[in-house]
Amino acid sequence: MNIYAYIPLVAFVASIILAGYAFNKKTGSNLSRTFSLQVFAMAGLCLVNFLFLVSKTSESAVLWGRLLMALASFIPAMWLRLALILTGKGSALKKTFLVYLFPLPFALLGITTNLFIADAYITFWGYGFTTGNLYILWEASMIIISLISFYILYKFYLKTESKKEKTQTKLFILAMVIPFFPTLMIDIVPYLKFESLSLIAVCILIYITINTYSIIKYGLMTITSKMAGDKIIETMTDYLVVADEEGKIFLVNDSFLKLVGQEKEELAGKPLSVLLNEAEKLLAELKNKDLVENYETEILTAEKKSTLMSVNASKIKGKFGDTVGFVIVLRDIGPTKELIGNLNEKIEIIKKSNTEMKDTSKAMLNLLEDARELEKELKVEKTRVEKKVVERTKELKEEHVRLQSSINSLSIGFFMIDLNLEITMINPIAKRILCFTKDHDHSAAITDKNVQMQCKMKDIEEGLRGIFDFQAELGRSIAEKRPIEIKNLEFNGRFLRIFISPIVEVEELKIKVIGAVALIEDVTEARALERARDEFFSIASHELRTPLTAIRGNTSLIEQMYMDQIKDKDFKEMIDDIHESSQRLIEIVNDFLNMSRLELGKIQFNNQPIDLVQIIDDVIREYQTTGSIKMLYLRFSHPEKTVQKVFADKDRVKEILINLIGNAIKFTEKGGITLDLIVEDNKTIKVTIADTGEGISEEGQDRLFKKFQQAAGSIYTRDSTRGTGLGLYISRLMMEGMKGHIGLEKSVLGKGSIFYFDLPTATEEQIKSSAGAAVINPIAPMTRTKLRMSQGKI
Amino acid sequence: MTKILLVDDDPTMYRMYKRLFSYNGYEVDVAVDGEEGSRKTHENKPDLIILDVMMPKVNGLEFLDQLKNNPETKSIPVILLTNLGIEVELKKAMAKGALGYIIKSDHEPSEVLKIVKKAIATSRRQNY
Repeated sequence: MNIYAYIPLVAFVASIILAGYAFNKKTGSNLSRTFSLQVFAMAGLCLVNFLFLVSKTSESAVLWGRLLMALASFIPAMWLRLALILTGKGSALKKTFLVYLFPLPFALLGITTNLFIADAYITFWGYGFTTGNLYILWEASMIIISLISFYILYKFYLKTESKKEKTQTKLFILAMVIPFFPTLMIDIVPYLKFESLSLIAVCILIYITINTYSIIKYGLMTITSKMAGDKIIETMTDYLVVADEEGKIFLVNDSFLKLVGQEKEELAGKPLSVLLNEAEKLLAELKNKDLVENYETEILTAEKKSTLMSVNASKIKGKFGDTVGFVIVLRDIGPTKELIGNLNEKIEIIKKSNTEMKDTSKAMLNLLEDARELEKELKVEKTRVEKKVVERTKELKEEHVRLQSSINSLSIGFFMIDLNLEITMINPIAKRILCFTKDHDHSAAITDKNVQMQCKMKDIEEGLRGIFDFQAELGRSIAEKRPIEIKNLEFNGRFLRIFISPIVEVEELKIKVIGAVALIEDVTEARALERARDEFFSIASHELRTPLTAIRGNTSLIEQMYMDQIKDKDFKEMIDDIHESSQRLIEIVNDFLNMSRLELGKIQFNNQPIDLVQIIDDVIREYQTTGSIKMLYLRFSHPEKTVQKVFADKDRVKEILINLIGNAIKFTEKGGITLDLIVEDNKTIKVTIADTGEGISEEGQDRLFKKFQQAAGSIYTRDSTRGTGLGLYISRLMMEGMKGHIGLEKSVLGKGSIFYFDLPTATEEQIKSSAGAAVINPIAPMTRTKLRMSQGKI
Repeated sequence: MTKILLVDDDPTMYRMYKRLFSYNGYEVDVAVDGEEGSRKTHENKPDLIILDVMMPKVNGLEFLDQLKNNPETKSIPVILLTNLGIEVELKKAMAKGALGYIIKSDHEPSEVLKIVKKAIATSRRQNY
């Protein structure tokens, strides 16, 4: 007898103990029962195995061996059944019994025939057996059924979401697979005629041990009401608390924990009042009855909000009818107190809107009637509008065509761009000027060809490269929302005047730029004309003034050289008249010339820092030395302080002064002229010229400083002895050229007039930079003609 | 006697000014263009040259250049007598060394005489 033979016996005893313990621990489950059955069967197998090993004769060994094999046949079927019950596929207990039909023929045949176990023989540790002809078939069936069981369990393991079920399945698979392979090996050994230790009992022991462990540790196998209950508790949305008979918290479900923001461990064993304010009251009520329903209480949530709950509570009774605990289920019944507070307000609003709705419905009924009427009218109106739209569309089209052809027939180039700086409309002239300059004659007729030809922004850019950045200027005009004018742009032998203006849309008082227009004018001809005019005036001044100078000079010389020979009074007067006429002619020519050159901006102002007091003194001295037949006074009161210099052209200022004083003398018969110098501020100095003359009518005042305007009205009332009437106009132009102003301060008919002019004071820089820069004519004291002309009438 | 060289192409002009100066005791020589003016300057060595601007062949400004660039004639005072009131031109002339300018139509002969007398006096003071 070998000691190894006792291994199965030990396994048998251990199995019985473990299975019994596990069975006792968790009862009431189908699975548990199945498992226990299995374990007992396995324990039996271990016993048979022992008996086989320790057989007295080979005959009895064969019998025990066959019984062992028969019993072993059922193990995979048992696994299969367990798997089916666990996964819910074999919930009906009776049906799953059918799995035992598979191993049954093998078991019967195994016992009765030598097909599987042929013979027994003594090995070093007890009896072994030699395999029969169909042994391998039996082995295969065992493997197949085992694998099916594993597969079912594995699939369930993957599918289930319950953690508990996952653990359970995993442990099952482990318990089956770990002994499966050694068993398989051991079973194969006799077939291959090797001798090995029979460890099948050990494998069985492993299986039982793992499962027993899982039952004890995880409470597995109890898949029925308890498991379902746990599941329900776990997944229910209601809040559940279970308390023991003393009202201590025993269990709180996850949703409740989440609601109050507490941990399971923190709450266990604490009094119910931690969760429920009115727990005492509730428990007191439960003393007399088994169930309390729809009890309302408030719960403070994790967010510190008070929530109203409906509570159902019941007792849990023990085996002897005594109270062992309480189940309390809470349900959120919605609005919190504050919301209820708002409810009244809401009801008011609803009431109000109800009334409104009633009124509205009344009004609606009225409206409905009106609407019918309106509908009829609308139909009529619609037809009218449709007609109008057609008309308007036509008009619009015509308008567009009109506009297009107006633009096309403009004598100047025109194009329009959108905000992307792309041309939206362009007329043939613009195309001709900007796009076809190189090959096209500017005066050529507008042909279909150049009307149709493309002239894109890039073409224009191309053509004007290096001369003018049209696109940039257009962009600038749009961005700055202001027009831009470029004069005399020389391009391709022509002179262009370009005017760019943004297209502005005013919408609700907001200015929106939607594009820009550009006008391109060929001013080559205009420039030629302008030049011709310049030349004309230049020639006229020379050609007219030269002979006039000769006439005047010679009459002067006659009077000087032949003074003693001119005795005749008439002769003397005639020569005087010739002299004066030539003088007046020179004056007129000078006025025209000056005016023209001032208007064209051809006169350069030799602006210097000058002393106005000095200039006024000079001019007055000239008048005084010449004397006045009219016996008028000419006064100038010097200012007390030194006066700042002004920045102006000395000669021009003198001219203006002479003109103003001359005018004053002309129109004054009695009294005289007073000049005053007023320092306005640091920036300007003002000179006033006041006379005691005839004054100027209001009508006349409007005409002052305008071209060819004497204060007297029509051409017939002009006083030809009083000059061209250009004097004040020229003075104004000169003043503008020196950034000063000239005007009439006031005038009263019969009392006199006050004229003024002002000039900007010279800045420090101007004083510094002008030192020595002036080109002055040292020999000719001043333009005397003006002065004398004015004096002529005195 | 003070010698004046009058350079002007217009006979009505030079005759008038010649009479004016002769009558007032000056020795007057007339040239009708710059070329002649140049020749006469070298021949007669005038004390003063009165010069018109617009002239054929060599115009007044060119002639002024010649005078001022020649060391022999450089010191002769020159007064421009013109009817072209173009300031730029006149300034140019002043820069070239003219003593001054007279716009013909702006001045009576008597005033021209005064200006010339004053100019001669000034240039004499400067020279001696």
